[in-house]
Amino acid sequence: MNATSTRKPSHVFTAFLIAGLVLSLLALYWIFLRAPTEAMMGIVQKIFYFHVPAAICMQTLFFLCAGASAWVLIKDSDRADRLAHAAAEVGVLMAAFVLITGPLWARKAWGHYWEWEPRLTLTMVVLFMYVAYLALRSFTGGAGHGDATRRIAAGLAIAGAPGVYLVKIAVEKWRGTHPRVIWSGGLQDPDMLTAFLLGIGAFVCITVSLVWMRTRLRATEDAAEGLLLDLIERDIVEERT
Amino acid sequence: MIGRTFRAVVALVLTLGALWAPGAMAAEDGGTEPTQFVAATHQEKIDGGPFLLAAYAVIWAGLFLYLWSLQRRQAKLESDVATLRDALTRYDAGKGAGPKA
Repeated sequence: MNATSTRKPSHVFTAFLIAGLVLSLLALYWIFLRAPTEAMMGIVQKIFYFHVPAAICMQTLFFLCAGASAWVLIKDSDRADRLAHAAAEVGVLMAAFVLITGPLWARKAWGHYWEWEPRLTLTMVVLFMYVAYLALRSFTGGAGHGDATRRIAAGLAIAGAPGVYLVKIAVEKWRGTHPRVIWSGGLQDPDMLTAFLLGIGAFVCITVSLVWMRTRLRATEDAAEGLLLDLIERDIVEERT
Repeated sequence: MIGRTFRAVVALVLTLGALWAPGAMAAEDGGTEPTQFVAATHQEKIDGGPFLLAAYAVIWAGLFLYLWSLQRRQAKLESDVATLRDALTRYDAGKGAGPKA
């Protein structure tokens, strides 16, 4: 029997999702009712409070994907493979948020939506790399199948990690128009800082629960594929090419 | 289960730390001029509202659509798994095979 059992929903991760929603509501309250409007950029600066947490989650998830992919290459672990796949998919969602909300902010702050400066360009390149990873994964079967594709995808995920690191250091190392706020004491107003920290808390909790849900979905996909193979072996269903 | 979750959370925190540490160190090195967010001291003309609204709408719509999509796919797959398990059990019990697919 090739099938693996599907996992029941975990209370821990349900708690993460609920905590994420509660923190999101708190963050929205702080952002719109407590944090002051920024003097230079006006109300559009409030995009910052979810734009940056999405970017932090994106970078963490892509690193997680690369780390889990390395584990796939070393140990051929199905669990690590599921985690890598889930991290990449949720990471691409976060990257999409970053690359949509950033230009909306830039339109007001810089006067145009896009600029080919280091951080923006690298973020786009990294997004394309992990979209390519997901495209490659769509050709891979479940557990024990499409091993070559799985390994090539793992290699691609690892190759994307230096790009993610460059996104992180781009503003500190190379000049560009992207603002440098957090580590240079740019958030000194306590209400602005609280709104930012609540935004981070909300995004981290939501991200953890989304990755877990996506991992569970992959486990169920693998179980279904395993069962299907068992049925084909017994000639109950016919294999389609 | 709690132990594994704890390890996962510790790994996440360590990853976040590893991500932020180079930024904190490199902040001293130069690069782009630091930006300071300054609170407006008086009520100014507020424009840019549609951009703000669009940004938040994209994030929340995206999150809820993805969450809904995951739940829907999970429910469908669990139903498929149950059907396949049933077919396999019936076959193994010698009660006959399901229809050819």
